[in-house]
Amino acid sequence: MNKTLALLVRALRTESRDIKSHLFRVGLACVVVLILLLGLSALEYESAPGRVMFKAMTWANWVVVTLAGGTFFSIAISEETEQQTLGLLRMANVSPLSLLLGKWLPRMLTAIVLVSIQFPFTWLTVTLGGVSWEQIWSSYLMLLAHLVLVGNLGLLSSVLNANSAKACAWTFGTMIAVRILPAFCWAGLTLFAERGWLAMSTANTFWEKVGAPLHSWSASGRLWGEILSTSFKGDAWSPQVVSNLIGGAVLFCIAWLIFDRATMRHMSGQISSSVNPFRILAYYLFRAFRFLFWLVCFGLVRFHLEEDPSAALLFGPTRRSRRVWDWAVGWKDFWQVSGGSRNLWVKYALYGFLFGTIFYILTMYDADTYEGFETSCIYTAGIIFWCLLPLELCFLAAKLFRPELNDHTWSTLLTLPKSLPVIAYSKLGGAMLGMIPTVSVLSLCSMTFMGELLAEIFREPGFVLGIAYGLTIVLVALHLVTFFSISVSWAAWPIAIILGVGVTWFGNVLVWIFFALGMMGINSGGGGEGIMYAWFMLLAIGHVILAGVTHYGIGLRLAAKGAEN
Amino acid sequence: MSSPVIEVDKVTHLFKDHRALNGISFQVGAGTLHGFVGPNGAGKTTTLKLICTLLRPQTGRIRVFGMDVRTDVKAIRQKLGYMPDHFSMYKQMTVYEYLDFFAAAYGHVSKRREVIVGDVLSLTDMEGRKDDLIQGLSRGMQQRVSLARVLVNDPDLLLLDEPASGLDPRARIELMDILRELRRMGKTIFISSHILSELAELCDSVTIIDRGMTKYSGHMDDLLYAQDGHPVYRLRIETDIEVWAPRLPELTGVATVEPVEGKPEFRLTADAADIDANSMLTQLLAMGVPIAGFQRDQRKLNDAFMDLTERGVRT
Repeated sequence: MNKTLALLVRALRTESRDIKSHLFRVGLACVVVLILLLGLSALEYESAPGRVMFKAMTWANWVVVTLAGGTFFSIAISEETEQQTLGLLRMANVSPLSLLLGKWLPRMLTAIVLVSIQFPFTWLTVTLGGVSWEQIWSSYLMLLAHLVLVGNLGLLSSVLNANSAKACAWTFGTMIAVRILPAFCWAGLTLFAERGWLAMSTANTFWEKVGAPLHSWSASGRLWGEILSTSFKGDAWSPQVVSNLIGGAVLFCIAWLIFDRATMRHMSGQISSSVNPFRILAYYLFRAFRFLFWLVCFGLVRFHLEEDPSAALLFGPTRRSRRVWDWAVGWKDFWQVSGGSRNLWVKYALYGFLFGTIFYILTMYDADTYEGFETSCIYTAGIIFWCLLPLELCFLAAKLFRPELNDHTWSTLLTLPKSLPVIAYSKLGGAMLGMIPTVSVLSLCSMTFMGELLAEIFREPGFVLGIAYGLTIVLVALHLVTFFSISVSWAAWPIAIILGVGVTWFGNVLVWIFFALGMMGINSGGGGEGIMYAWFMLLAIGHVILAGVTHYGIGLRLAAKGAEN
Repeated sequence: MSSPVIEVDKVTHLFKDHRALNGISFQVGAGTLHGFVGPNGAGKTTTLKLICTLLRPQTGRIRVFGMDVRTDVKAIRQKLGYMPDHFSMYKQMTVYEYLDFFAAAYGHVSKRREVIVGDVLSLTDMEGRKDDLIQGLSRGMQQRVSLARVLVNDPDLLLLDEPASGLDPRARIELMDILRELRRMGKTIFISSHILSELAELCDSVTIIDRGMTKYSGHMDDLLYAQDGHPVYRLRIETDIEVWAPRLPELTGVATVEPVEGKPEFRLTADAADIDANSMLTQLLAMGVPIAGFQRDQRKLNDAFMDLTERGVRT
């Protein structure tokens, strides 16, 4: 118990000295203030402004708790492994349970304090009207249970992964997979039932017994459903709360039980060249699971065996050397960041699979082949443009410089007789080669409707401004992701993506709220469209300036990192 | 000294309010193996980073091959190889890929690279491990690959920051052999290290710094064989030590005579730099001193280092 307390005190002391945690709290306070502003503005047109405010606060809390689980808890043990202090703690006879509790408790306390300090504002929502005390208690209990579940999921990931970034990715990936896998499975079963391969009742039973409970047991499911509705009359101890608390406890126990086995492997860090059949089987199961994981969650597969340290377990510590291109830095990042030529083919195969699946489903529903082909192109292009392309760009931006800083190779690279911009843009160029499949498939799929789309765009000038605005948002977000990836020290790339995209989104929301409030103050005369166009243009210019400033900041930071790394 | 390869002149460097370098000055001659010694936090790594153009000097001047590190960055980088004090390697690459990558990054074409990489692999005795993944190599092997990487551009100047730290005795001895071979090939080597005994044996010249200031810079022999620039000799007398002890200060050119505790020996410090062993020995023989031994007194680099640097941790 003393050891747990010692770890708890150490963590709280470290946290109180860390400026980033204070900044995070300030950020949350800003969100609360923004929500207050929203509530105030809702006074004019909403009969229950308190409900608007409470809804926004609960969603904000849910986002904070989910992010905390995916990041803060996911580095609990892996940060000790990375700093090589885990072995020292174990040698000091700190038991796995003490260690887990010592790392889990301060995080839990911090998260609870963070959420509970908003209580006075919550009180205000009751005063403003539209929210009952039952709803408030239920919401906070729901958030606590959600925190226990995601926190312990993060803790388990942290035990399983020696690398903080990987641990974060696993936590987020599992959370996403648990939310969307049942829906995918149900869709698949329905499809089979419609083909007559399966009874429809099987698909329905699956949804009733698995999909629906999983949905209602999740905090987000409850947030979408009953808990924020006006007619809420539910019990605070709902199945979601009970299941999340039990699930969290089970995950904690698993982390405890496997702690020694998992962390000993990380601490030893040895590569065995011996080939054990069980290890091979476990290895392929692991790869198959990972393949599915990436396929479902991100549509990307990291299948480049040579780049993967775990491959050395199977193949031993040697392999045939590849030839380096004359464009050396580009070559390096084509392999290091994008995964190399093998990944290109895997991506092409995945996009082909995506297109084929959509085409198959469409033609099954009586669409003729040409129509099915055309619609499949539109859907594939849509999925790539709205989901996969942004994800891939975010990953690329976050992982462009981070591995160099982690492996202390950046300073060595900077001693090459090339300027920093030449090195940095060569890296970017090499990494972007990995996007050839995405861009080429997107271009091919867009060919069927691009002419029509362009004609539509040029007919309406507002479209052009809208697209320019959208592109500049992407530009800012990618710059911020890159900037954060070289600024934060732990779990850098997941945090960088969340921060970069989050800051861009939140900043734009803020700007639009102020714009809407401003517009409400202006008399509703003519010229609204003109003001809108001017506003879009102003925002786009603002984004370009912000991207430019961030670009310059990245350069300065990279130069500084070269000297200190 | 022939025209210096490195000239550091009154360089001061601050990190926020911490003064890392405080007017440091020294020179490194061409073709020499120059040791760079100092306590932790003395400013060694900062100096190395300034020389290799990763940092820009705030005041003072640094010239490498006569070129200013502020303005001739690319030309300087082309002529030097820097090995940092930590392993900075792409561990998913094989040894060959790693070296081939740097050779290509330095602008060598494919065919030329084959020859260069083969040569450096041969020099560092890593030919048999060229297809090994770097992550699977031992620390000593990784250090060899690091050194091989520095050599792919055939630089005239090598800057090595703690190259022997963490290596086992065999790996250290092998590394020192490689450095000797490189010096024989005409390279100028600037090496920062804490292993003083090996530096004393290996280096032609040395710079000792402490708290950002130069405490000594010059030939290793002048440091080890002299005290305040004056040569010191050790005399061993066979008999009648109490008779000869009072007469030794009468010798011309001797500034001080110190008896060595518990031994029939004396340390004779010359009063000028040009008093050589022959003139001293001639006088002793003329006086009829029963000499059992006479030699130039050599200090250990450890002792010189302790004399020149201050006690305590730098704040």
